[in-house]
Amino acid sequence: MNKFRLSAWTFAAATALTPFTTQAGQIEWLQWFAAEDTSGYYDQLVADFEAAHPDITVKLVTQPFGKVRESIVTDNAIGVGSDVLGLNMPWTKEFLDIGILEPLDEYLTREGNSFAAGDLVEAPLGKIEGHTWMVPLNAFPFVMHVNMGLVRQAGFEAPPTTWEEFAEQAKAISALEDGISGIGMPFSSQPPSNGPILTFLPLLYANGGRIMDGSTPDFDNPKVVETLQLLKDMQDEGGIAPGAASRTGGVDLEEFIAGRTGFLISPGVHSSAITGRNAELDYTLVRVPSNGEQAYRVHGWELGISASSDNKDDAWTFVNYLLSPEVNAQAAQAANALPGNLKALDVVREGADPTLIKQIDILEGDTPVEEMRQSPKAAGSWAVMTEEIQAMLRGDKTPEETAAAVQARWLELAQ
Amino acid sequence: MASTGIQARMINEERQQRWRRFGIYAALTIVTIILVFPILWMISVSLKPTTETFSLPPRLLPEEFHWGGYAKVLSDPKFRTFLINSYIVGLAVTFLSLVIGTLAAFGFSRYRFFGDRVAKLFVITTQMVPTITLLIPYFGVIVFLGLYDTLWGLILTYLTFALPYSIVMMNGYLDTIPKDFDEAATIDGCSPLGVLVRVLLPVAVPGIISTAVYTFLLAWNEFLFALALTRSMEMRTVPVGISMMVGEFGLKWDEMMAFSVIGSLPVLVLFMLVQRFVVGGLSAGGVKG
Amino acid sequence: MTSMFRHMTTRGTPYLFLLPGLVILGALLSVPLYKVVEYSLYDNVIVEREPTFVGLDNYANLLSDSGFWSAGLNTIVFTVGSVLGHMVVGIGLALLVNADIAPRARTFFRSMLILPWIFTAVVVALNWQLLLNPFGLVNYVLQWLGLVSEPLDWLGNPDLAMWSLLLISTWRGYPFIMVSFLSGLQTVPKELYEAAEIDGAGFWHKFWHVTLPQLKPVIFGVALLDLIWTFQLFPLVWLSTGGGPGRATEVLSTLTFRLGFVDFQFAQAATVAVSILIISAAFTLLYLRNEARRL
Repeated sequence: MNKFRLSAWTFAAATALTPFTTQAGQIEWLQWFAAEDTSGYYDQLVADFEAAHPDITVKLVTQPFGKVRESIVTDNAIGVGSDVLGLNMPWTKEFLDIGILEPLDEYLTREGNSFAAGDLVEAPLGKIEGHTWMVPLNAFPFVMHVNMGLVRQAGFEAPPTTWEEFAEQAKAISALEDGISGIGMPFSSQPPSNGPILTFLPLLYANGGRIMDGSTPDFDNPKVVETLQLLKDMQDEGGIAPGAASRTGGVDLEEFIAGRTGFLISPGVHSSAITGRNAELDYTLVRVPSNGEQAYRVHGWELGISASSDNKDDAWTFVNYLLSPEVNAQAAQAANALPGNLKALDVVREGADPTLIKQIDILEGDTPVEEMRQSPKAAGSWAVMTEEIQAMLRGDKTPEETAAAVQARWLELAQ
Repeated sequence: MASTGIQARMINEERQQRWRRFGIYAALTIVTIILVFPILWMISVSLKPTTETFSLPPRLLPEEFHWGGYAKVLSDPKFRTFLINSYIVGLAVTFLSLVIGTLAAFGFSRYRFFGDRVAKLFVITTQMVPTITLLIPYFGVIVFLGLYDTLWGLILTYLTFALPYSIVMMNGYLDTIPKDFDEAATIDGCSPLGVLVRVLLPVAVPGIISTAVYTFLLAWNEFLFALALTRSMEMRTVPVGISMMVGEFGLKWDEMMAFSVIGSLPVLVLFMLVQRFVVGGLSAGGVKG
Repeated sequence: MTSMFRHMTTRGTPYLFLLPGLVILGALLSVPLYKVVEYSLYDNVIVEREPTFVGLDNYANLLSDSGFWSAGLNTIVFTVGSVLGHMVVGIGLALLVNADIAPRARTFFRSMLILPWIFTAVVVALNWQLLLNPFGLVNYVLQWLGLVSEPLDWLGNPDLAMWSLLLISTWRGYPFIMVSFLSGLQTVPKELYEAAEIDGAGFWHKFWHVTLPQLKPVIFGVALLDLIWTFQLFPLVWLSTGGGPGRATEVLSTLTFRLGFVDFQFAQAATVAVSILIISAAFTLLYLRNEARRL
């Protein structure tokens, strides 16, 4: 484990002493999924797996979502990384640059896999530096949640489908009464400071725009400027809830659930929280308003294998188990998400509520996009986007200047 | 004539005294209400369904008391484990840092010796590097010692954070005690350790209490290392448990605040109890002179 | 230090007293401290297997980085503001609570006033986010009182964010000073106050001429540690504002974290950490010199 000359003595001795990585047949699964779950599903999942594979034991290591990315890097530096990793697509390039991830190409072509690679949601599989690094446990398309009560109150029959309708309705809803707004934009700097990838990117993709050219930033293009202009205009017309620069994603969701905003752009998986917590809300879910393109930002819970794992085969046995249509369908249902293995879609469709059916339509019909995974500094990039969009909404920068500033800072960051 | 004048002055003084006391009570009440207000809001959030927390206008009193957050936290054995771990770690760190810190403080306070300034500088230096940058190399040391994912690892970690404070503060408190005390005892045949235990400690009780409070709360509140140095649910502490409620898809406000309130109640009771000893220290201090 | 006292000192005694503490600190912290300094002299530590030695390049880059200087300036504002806030509120409350009132009332007020200290930083930060939200209780009360006409975005407005952060930091930090100062007050001999009263001294006179001089060692110790801690305070700032909006509340500790765990530039993060160490060490040397003069 002579990993870094700098720290060799400590870490070499450390890895020799720790039992975690050396016991055969024991793997660790680091994830945050069990923290999001309230039903104890993941303990059951592990128990079922161990019953089917008596020679392998799985230890669930659950971290709070906000700390998973740091934990994976820290654990890896010390040489105590878990074998199977719960991941988010935007971390791909960052992690493979540090050498955390194991390429999965060979595993995906193994005989006896419980699934066909062609059935998996495609976005996380896309090759970077010639390899596949993650597989999808499940998928959440980004959608727009709608408070129909407010839409009707503002004098509209149906939710918006185009940008013009969107801006018009948001403005009208904001005008209804004090404290009610068309839509919230969670552009706060508080960690994870990722508001733009939650709201801005879905709008950009529905406009046919992109922010990356391969793994090179490409932010100052006309499509981006148009989308920034939309936000700016909506802000100036009062369609956006006040306090965007201190609004967190969590508060944005809660205010929508409490009936204070008309629209919420976020992953479709939120629909269960919304209906579960406020049954009185006149709620529906639609595609993110489009400016000519039917493309959606796809998000999900991914799985990877640690490059330093001593039990890669057992780790793959577990990942393979999770991707089999039966287990994958259960896992999707437990998270109220769509399955990563599309073969499981039929199981999920049965008994699904209308909001989930709509998400299935989006998943099957529209173009999925996920660009942050190619970014060499994804987390730093979205913090930069957040800061510059804050400045634009404050009136300090025009959309053109904003786009140029983000591009310049991204290039600097990528060095 | 003269005696009535004195009487009048006494009555006047008494009245003044009473007004002053009233003023102090009034000031304390107002200041306390303002400062405790955010805590009242936390309790209010713990007693409301989340939709009400975000409804307009904001209300301090829930429309209807919602015990769901408390029920969830009290019924899940996981949270009990977090609480017990936090108390074990907190109390162990407090005890160890008091003993070790007071010994070192006594050395610094009562002796001049070769290297004393360097030793003290080293003690304080350990506090000067942001702990986040120490995290990775420190993690290596804990793994090296085989203390990864154990409560001992956390206890030792917080001990290193708390010791500099214990040493510096106990040094400060011991310095406020005149040295004639020790000399008298030494003449009576006390060893240095005897001087510390029998003469100085009884007088320094208030300082010990405040050091203890600090140390306990440091261990009680710490999050970054608690998360990095443990990974089993059985080894996790309250702050880590709370952070688990901040999910990718929403935040369990009611549970989070309920757990914070429940966890903090025993701390508050503990603090109320040790205050007696502060008063005890006062009377012991009265013996001197 | 009298000669009689020196008498009882055998040479090894003080070292024995210091031994357990120094061994624990040394064993656990000397390697990490050394590593941080070493990291700052390399490039691509932790992320690369073979980091390259670059000497003082990281320091040169840092000094020419405007982000470092503005974070440094914010750190000074934040540290000075917070420590002043802690001291004024903490000492003021300690004096109030220590006044001659019923013991039960005293216990009650003391316990209530320590409350801001017993909650973990995540909860403190999130709670203040709720309170300071444009539609939160603080704005609601201010509008009701007629003090503001429009709700203010306390944490999202670059002109207000630092003030809000100072408010949160003061609220969070005063109990520490209050408790330390309160226990200090108990060690002041009563006779000194009695003597001052016989001389007709009023409240302020007693405070300036009896309390403060008596508590100087405690106050100096507390102030120094508070200064060092606030100078690198991380979780509360990161969770309350994340350094934003923009970089309006970015301090050196959040910059360190950003460099390390957001951008994975651990060498640069270590460089900032060492600069914090150097500045803090300068404070401490000043303090120790002061202390030596006092003894």
